[in-house]
Amino acid sequence: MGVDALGGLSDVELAERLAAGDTQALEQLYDRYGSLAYSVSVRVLGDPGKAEDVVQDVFLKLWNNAARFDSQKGSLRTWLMTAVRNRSIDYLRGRGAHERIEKEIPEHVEASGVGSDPWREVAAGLERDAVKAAIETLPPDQRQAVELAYFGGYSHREIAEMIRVPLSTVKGRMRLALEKLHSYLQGRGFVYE
Amino acid sequence: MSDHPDLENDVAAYVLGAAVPEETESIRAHLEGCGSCRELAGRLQRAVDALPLATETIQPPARLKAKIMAAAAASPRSVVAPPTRARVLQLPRVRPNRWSEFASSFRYSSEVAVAALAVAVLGLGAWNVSLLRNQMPVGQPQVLRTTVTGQGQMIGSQAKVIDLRDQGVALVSFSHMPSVGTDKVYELWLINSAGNPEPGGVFRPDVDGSKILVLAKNLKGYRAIAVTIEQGPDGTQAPTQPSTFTGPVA
Repeated sequence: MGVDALGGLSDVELAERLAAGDTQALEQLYDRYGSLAYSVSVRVLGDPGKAEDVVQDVFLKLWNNAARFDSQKGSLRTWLMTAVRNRSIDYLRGRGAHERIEKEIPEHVEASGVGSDPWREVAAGLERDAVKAAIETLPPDQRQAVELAYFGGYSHREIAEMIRVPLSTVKGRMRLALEKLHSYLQGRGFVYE
Repeated sequence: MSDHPDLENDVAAYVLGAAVPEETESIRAHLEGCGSCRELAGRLQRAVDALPLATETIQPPARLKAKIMAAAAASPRSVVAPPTRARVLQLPRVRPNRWSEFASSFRYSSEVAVAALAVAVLGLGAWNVSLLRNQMPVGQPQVLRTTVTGQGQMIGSQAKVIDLRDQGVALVSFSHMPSVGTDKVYELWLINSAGNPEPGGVFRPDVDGSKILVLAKNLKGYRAIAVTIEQGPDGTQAPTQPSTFTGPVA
């Protein structure tokens, strides 16, 4: 089966093929998520060269440990993007990736990646548009708290110190922002209970 | 709704990856025993999982896929070593609210964190520095691009810096800048390696908030740019106001 023929497979099916050592499955996953992974890493690092290293590391980590991937615990996309974000921040902070505790994908996370239908690209584009629109709806201070934490890799304490507001305020902003994002996306069918 | 809102806020920081190590374990332990917080964590986690989709799409170079596939083909399956405990970077202490302290902060580090700290030092209020540094070689390694964006009430404002090292020219393209009072101007500052601001030019944005400044020198040796609002039409030789826009360029 050629790599193009794998385009109709779900992420779970690709993960199974990956675990069996199918390099075409890896290629299909890269085609599916490589651009997103690279974009996230560039966003965090601001350095395309390092972003290449991060994306390469993460995909190879997935390749080498595909048998351990448990689709019951979350989507492949979530795993990939979490790994890319964490490793990028490790680079940003100048610490080795081995020093980070990889937060396990919570069991409640639904496989929220787009399905295996031929409209995958269209659906992915709609989802990205929805997320961007959701973030645009956030008040600036809430958006700032989320972006500093997620893309900047700062702890709530660091953020509170940077923007000179009480720690409790920063935590509250984070919660409100995430609640709003969830509500917005749920209302448009992009996250599921 | 649970009866412990503080812990719920801790859960939000936790799922966002912003909790500090000393509280992470206690949050995890709480989640194991608290159904409402566990449900909350699940809900918020779905929002966090969507955040990567907010990034602007950047196509990776074709060589990246080739490198990955070649490495995979040559890579034996391996077992992941157990992770060790994470460290959290401690930012330098916040310093007094003076320009000189802002300038001196650039002496400590060229990392993005310093730019963010400078914002805290200045107490910018509406303005905040972007933590996103976007340094992109363009074709030749002697062309560097850096993007500095505003936050807070200035979300959407940005300055794209194109440093043409070989040509000895730099362009700073501002966009979505708010208008300033009729007697005021924006003044660009180049923060040198010693941490001192040098005048880079004054400008008033066009109607659409854009303006391009062309500097007759490259930015080699400069660590950051900053913008203040100064008295027009000529600005000043040294900043008199807190920076409204700042970020690293080196």
